Amino acid sequence: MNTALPMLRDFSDRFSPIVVKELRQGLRTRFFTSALILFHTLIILLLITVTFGAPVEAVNGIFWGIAGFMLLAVMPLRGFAALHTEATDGTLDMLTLTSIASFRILYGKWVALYSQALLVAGSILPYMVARYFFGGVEILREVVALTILVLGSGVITAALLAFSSQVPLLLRIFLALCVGAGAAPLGFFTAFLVTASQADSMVREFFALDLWAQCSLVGGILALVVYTVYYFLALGASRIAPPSENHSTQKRLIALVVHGALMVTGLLLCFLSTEPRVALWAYIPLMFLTLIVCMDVLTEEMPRYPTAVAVLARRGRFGRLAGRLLYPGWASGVLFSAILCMMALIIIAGITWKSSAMDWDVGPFPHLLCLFLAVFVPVILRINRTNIFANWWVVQLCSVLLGILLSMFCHTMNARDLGVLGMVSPITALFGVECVDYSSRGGILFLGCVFSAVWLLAAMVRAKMNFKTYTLLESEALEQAGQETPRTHDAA
Amino acid sequence: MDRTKPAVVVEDLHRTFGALKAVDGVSFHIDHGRVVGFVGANGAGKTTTMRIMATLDSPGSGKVSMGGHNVVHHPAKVRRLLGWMPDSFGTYEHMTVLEYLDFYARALGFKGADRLRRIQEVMDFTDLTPLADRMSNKMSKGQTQRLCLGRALLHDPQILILDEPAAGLDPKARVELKNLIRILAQEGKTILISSHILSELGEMCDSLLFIDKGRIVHHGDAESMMRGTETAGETLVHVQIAGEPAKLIEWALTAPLIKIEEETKRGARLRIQASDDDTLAGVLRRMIQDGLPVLDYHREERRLEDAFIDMLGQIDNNTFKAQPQGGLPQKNAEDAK
Repeated sequence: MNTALPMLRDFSDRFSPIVVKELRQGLRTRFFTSALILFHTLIILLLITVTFGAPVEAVNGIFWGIAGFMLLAVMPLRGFAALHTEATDGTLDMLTLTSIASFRILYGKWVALYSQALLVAGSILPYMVARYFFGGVEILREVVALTILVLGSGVITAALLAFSSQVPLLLRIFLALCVGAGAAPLGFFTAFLVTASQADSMVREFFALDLWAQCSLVGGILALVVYTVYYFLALGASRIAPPSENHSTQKRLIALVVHGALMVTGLLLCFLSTEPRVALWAYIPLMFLTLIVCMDVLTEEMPRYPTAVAVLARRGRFGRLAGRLLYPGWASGVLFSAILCMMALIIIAGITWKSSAMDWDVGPFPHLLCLFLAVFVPVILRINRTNIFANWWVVQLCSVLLGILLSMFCHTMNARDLGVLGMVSPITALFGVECVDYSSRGGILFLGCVFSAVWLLAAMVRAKMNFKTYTLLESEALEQAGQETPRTHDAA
Repeated sequence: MDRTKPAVVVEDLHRTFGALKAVDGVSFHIDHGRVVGFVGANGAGKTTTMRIMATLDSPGSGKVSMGGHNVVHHPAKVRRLLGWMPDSFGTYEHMTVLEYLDFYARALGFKGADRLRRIQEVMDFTDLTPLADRMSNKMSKGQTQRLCLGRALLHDPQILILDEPAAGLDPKARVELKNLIRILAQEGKTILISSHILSELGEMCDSLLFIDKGRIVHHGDAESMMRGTETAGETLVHVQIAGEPAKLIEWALTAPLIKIEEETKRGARLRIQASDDDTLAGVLRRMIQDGLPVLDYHREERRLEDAFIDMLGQIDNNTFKAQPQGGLPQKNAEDAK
């Protein structure tokens, strides 16, 4: 036997093959080693400055700045091209031919990258203890800050991994910037926690809660982080999977359950609490998740193979009916997205209804209605016909740019009434409303919502026209299973 | 696997990319234990067909079965039967040869001692054992190709699809690869190999599939291919003379029954419109009588490449003849309307 073989016992069989591969590769890369050495060098130098009389508050701020940059930017960015590199090197094909499912490929990569981030996070702990002896450190706040960074790092890594399946470099850079923008509040919140004195009262408020409330809050946050990571990984998996496979139905069912639970939580918080705005704790994550899920399901390619619809098609009439919501493809995605958006809007409607400080006409409800309706515009506008995913982002970006141009035009020309031109799309409507006088905003917003709803209606009509694809595939799937062919009234 | 049925069945396969018809009605079957060469120019549709067979791409229409399993309906079953070697090698950075094979063996479900035994067998077969600790992306092309073949063999597949396995290999590595393929064929594996090096395919394969513009233009053994495209009553002769080859060219231009096929460094390849020995000897006699300093004069064995090019020429001619006399080709005529 070859003497080198015992070396292969470095990882047990219980580890996923992808995790083993990624860890073997990842821990050897210069990038990881260099980043780790540089990080520790900077931290050590920073701590030395304290002994020379540098102000502890400033050192604390810089310390967490470096740690945050490392955990929220440097470590997750290693996933930026992970899937794209596999695809261009031809190794993704070879992975597909093994028994590893697409989701496990993503999950394995995420585990390997995240465990390296955890390694970095773990190496911060001794410095936290060391700084405690220098004074000026609130250890509880710092532990909370580190936890936030660690959780945030996991979500950002999953998002970048999912988007790394996209081929165009510019699109990936743009998406990475979007993820960065989404992660920025986490950084600010961490900075607030470790530097601002008001953070003390916030931590004390949390500990003043009942035990069940504390557990519910922490459990809820953890569950949301797990779901967000899952969804991003499922999103990436559906992009690299062979077209004959269905990676959508399970993901959508889980999304329905989670979004439903968030909606119920939001409504309970709204109606059982004396302060309806407490429901925003459920609403804000629900809004972001809804936008992510809608973007995903509305950019799925229509299935081409009966295997993608077979499971539901064989469950009779109800299975096929559910398929119109759960089959892969943007056509079923339109109906599915409409339901998710409605779930999110119900909470805002509840808050608006119960809160005397919020108006129906110019409050958050019509604004958010426009925001949610904006997700359907790319179903109708196809600027990029070859890449439906890129198209979704291009259309949204163009809408925002148009809105900014409209705002600039209205303000520089002092032609505030021209804000009404923003009605052409939901996003531009939001910009247009800001241009007009406050007194006429209610009417303009109402008009904006009506015009925006036309996009949804058009998207639904287009989706209905494409349902015939599902009908044909169902027939093929049933034919293959030797069952009775379904009625084809949808195709008609 | 039912060995009474063909190992591979491709029926009326179509695949388009936008307006481009990459595969246009391809049909063929391969029996168990056969080695079949897949030949065609770049962009002819070889790789697309092979990727569909390997479940990596999906057919626009048509049916592909591997070992009796439809590639669309039962991709997982097909993958278990299949060893795929792409034209890009697909190695990883920062990973040794042993780790590379270990990763794929894990991914294919091998566990513990069974995995180590299988890796050892594959490394012995492909002669990679001395390179076990070498970084997989820092090997020669031949070594990388053997590694890639080793990976494809890990789960002992019954059907192998090898896309351009000999591309870019030096002669020694090509011979080694050819020997490995020969052994695999003796083990009864069904092998489909694409290559540009037709002479090698002729030696290795039981039959050849020629594809052009997404259509199969010939399926048979090398001899039938050469017979089928041979022009009756013509012979190719290679002539070398001392001094300037221009003299030979001038002579050939005026000589009856002779056409210049190709000028060479020291002479020319001539197509003589006769195949009997007397006429061929007569041509040589005339050359000497006319004062040409002939160094070498020999009848050329017909090459597979020539047969392929002739066949493509015949197809183009037939297509041209099928079009309306004096008019535009059918499609252009419709466009013109």
